[in-house]
Amino acid sequence: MNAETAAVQPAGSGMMTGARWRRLLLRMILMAGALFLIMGPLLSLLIWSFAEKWYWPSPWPLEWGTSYWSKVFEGKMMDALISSFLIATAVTVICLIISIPLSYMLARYRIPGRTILLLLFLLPQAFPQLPVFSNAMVLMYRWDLVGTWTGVILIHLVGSVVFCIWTMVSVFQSIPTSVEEASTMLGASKLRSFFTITLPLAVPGVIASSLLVFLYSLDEFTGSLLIGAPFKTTLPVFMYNAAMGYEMQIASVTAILLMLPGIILLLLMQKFMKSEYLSAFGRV
Amino acid sequence: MQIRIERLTKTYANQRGINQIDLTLPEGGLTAIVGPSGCGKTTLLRTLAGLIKPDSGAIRFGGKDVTYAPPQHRGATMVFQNYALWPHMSVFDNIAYGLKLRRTPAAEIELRVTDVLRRVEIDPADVKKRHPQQYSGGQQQRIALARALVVQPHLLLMDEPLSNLDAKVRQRLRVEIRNIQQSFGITALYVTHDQEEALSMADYVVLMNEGRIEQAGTPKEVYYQPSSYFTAHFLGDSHTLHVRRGAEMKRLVVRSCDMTIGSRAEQLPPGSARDYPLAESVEGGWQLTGEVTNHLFIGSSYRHMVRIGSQTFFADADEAYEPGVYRLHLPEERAYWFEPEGQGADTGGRMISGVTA
Repeated sequence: MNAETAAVQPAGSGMMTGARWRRLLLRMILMAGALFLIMGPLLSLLIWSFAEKWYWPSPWPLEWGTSYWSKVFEGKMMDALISSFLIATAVTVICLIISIPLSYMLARYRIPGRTILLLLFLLPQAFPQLPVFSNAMVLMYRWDLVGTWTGVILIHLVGSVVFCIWTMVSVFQSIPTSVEEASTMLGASKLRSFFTITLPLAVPGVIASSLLVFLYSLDEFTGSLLIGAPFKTTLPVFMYNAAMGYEMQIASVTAILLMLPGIILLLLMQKFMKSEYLSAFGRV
Repeated sequence: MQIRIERLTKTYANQRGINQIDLTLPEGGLTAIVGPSGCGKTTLLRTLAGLIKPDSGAIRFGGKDVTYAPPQHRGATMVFQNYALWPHMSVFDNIAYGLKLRRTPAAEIELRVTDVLRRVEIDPADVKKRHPQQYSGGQQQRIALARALVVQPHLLLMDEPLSNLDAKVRQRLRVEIRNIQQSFGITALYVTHDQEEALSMADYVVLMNEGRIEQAGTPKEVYYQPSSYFTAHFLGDSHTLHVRRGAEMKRLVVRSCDMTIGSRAEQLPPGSARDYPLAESVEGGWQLTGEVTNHLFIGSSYRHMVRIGSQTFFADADEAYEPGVYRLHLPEERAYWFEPEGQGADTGGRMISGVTA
């Protein structure tokens, strides 16, 4: 009993101060280590993006400057950036149009073979991406879609529709049927009930999964390279080309630009993602 | 509006359906459907709502056949166990939803929402700003009731509306729902598994069991004149005793409060240890001899554990009786006799150990 109350005592008692300092120091060292592990590579990217000249064995760039930044913003990078954002927007919109009605029906109605259908959507994810995408490429050659924006959007949809549907099914399942029944009993048609009650209640989930899709499309590389390159270049493909050409500075600037929307959107998503969606995720 | 249900049938694989239900809900009255879980009461309610399509039979609202009409065209509204309010709308918008669908002018909506809120005792002052989840459970159910009543439905359906509330709020809302229903003069159907709720609120009680109507009548009728063993056993705090009445073997249903403990007896009469002890006919009723083993204080009275033969039941009394052998009296009109055989549907055998008829 006494030991317990002593441990709960606030910092005031002088006896504890030494132990407290030691604990604080240990914690700070651990935090610094973690920070280095996480931020180290990012920091190196940042340094590289401002390095004008940097030869081995110098530990620091020999010359600092922003010339690569302006180079990137003047050159083809801007085109890639804009098309990446346009594609991500298109993919998100199309993905939502496909998956909202589909996942609503999967969540609400006893569709025969529901489980199989959901697993079928998951199938492309079960195999390594490269063979799936190269097979898709063969198909797209037949329809003349390789090297077109339509082709790139389609290949992004292959991956994104899957997790959009899986998250949206659990979003709709978390909305009790009685709220819809209450509105139909008051005279609303099924469609009206969906648009005035169910969809507004699903909005946080819709936002969360559309952010996921947007990010997926923005960062998608393999499919974009196979289908789009060299005629259509998204930002990740651009970065890859830059890195392959040993333009470390261009690659670093692009990488930083690619990271920013991810960080911002993930922060946004934290606000909208409810734990019940995650707990219901994948419950068939 | 009078609601008529004719030979309504809906079968499910798991036998929770309804079978050949004939029922008339009197205009302006509150009908309560009560029964154990799985008796089909919710299926019946949801079929009336139009949320379930029946296999056969007919539902008439007034003279109109609505058997296969979709829920939005029936003019029935519903109050749910989980309130089913819409958290993304203000309380005002929740209640005005049905009126907006009916293209009621804005000024009239305002008036009617304010009026209905007064009648369910919710302060109409800040309902445009506040959302349902900012109210307590009892208040939320009042809001749900207001939302269902404001459109002046032909029929108000209530699906265990008080089950999620705590005992005190439930007691109060029982009375209030009853008053509100009467003041609106609305035909209402109330589904509950709580027999006390059904008896205290309804004009008309319908007892359901295994998809059929077991008995229907006023609360007093079904309580005091149970027509079947199931009704007698389901309503009130009932126990089943297997006893001999003369030479006949009978099932006797007795409620805790009906049996009175009388004078002490010297000893148990011969043969009373058997499974079918004798019920003696005395002036004005029946007399059994049993052994009081112990008692519990339950607030308003003492509950005695009484053994008759190998059977145990409870008898309530205003004073505590010491353990011992007593004569027990049961008034004639409180003794419900049933044949021991045909136990297919009964659950009454649970008080008896090892008895087979």
